[in-house]
Amino acid sequence: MLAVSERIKEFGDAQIGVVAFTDPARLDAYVKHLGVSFPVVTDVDRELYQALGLERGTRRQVWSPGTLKKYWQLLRAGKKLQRSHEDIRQLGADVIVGGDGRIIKIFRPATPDARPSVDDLLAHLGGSST
Amino acid sequence: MMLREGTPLPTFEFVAAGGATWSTDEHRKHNVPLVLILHRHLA
Repeated sequence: MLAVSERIKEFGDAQIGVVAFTDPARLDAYVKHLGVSFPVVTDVDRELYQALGLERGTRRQVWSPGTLKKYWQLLRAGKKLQRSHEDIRQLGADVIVGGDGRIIKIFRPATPDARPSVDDLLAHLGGSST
Repeated sequence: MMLREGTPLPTFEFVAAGGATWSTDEHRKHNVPLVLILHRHLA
């Protein structure tokens, strides 16, 4: 989502929302930690996650070589890793919804580190009804 | 039923930072697209 934040202008009028499942009491700190300008909300009961069929990953998925590599890159860049208070096995997704409310594209990566690129998101956004 | 591409996204209302309510339907009032990033580990 940081990559999206860095290229936010390219998303034009599109609304962007980050959906987490963190305790609402932690949400303000979470937003501060992320440092993004778009709304960050919490789906505590994971209703949207379930509606999209997003499962909890296996250990192999969650700790995939790509995930470990990503952590290594973050550490090398001087980032401090914090112990997560969340369910780290919950897999996520990225969803593009048209202005008419219809789902245009659902990206359901198999591992946490596999994410659509900003270019992928923008490509599908370009075909939406605005 | 699992949501699929081409189907309408039902309205979901979530708590936003600061305690406000945020709806997945808000963008439709302005007829603009919505990008949802569902958090996961490393997100």
